[in-house]
Amino acid sequence: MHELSIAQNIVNIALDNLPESDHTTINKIYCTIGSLTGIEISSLEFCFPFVVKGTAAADAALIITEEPAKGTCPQCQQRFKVYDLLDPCPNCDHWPLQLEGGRDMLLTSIELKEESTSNTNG
Amino acid sequence: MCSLCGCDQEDCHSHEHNHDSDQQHKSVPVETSIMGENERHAQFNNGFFQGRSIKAINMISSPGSGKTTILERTIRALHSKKRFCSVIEGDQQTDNDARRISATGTPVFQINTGKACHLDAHGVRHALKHLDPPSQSLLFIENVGNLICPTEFFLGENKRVVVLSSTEGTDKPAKYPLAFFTSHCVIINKIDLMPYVDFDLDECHRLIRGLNSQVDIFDMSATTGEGFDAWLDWLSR
Repeated sequence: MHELSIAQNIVNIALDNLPESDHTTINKIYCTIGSLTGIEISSLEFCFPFVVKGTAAADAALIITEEPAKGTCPQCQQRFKVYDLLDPCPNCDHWPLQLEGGRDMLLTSIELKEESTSNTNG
Repeated sequence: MCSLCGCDQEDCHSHEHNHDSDQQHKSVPVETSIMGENERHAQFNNGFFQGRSIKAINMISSPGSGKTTILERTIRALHSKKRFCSVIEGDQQTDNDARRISATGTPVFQINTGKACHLDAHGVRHALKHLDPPSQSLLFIENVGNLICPTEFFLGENKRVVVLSSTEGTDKPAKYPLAFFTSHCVIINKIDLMPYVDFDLDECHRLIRGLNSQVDIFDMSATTGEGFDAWLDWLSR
């Protein structure tokens, strides 16, 4: 269950990027996870609520985009997206493929929420 | 096609965008590696190894594949060649493995990860401070027995070795492909037990090569010593 450490990393990075203000919380956290990393996205989503508890990201939604690797078939030269190391060529069924990318894990952006703006028309 | 990431799904996961003009929601670009903190410690460790000309080997496997037995035999062989080595042991509980290594006269530092399923670079950095391995030595880091979690945690090592044993089944590389995909060397251990188990060595090699064409593969028995010399040669390269 290494996803718990990964979830903790995500929250730490998000909180580090939160401007200092009593009224700002994190509304959304956007991440990109490569398809050839050892991260099970559903496990990460399961761990997330436990690590945000009591922080300024307590109500934040975790929004993950899986980024596929690029594969080239050495037999038919076709190029396509690869989601799994064992995927064969969708054109000629050859395996293994030449793979590129799919190994990055990035926190791309956070969306902030200003809590106090509703009090402005008083 | 999703316009944001280019994936095939119409409604890609849950890209929610708030195009309201209200100022309540503000997006802050971050673009930071999620593994950044581990990476920083790993780079420190890697610099430490480089500065002392230490060859550091991260050993990953399922529990019970024979990592500690391989290490015991390796260390004894290296001692006879006057090669200094030290060991960092990672286990959830107990110092049983550390005591086995210590019996060979080798300095060892035990990390008990408690509930955690892998070593991380920060823990190894602390271990290095205690162990203080000398220049020109070999350092073995025996990771927690687990073929999944340790693969995403670079420790700063020079080489990553995956051990599997004939008793675990031919298709182990297909079941846990990432460990083999990210390693420099694979040891297939317990080949002395092959007559008693259903294990296809050639097929296992084919799967490993398919996942990683660059990897060095050594078939061996750490108990009988068969195939061990090729592994020792690889270590001294």
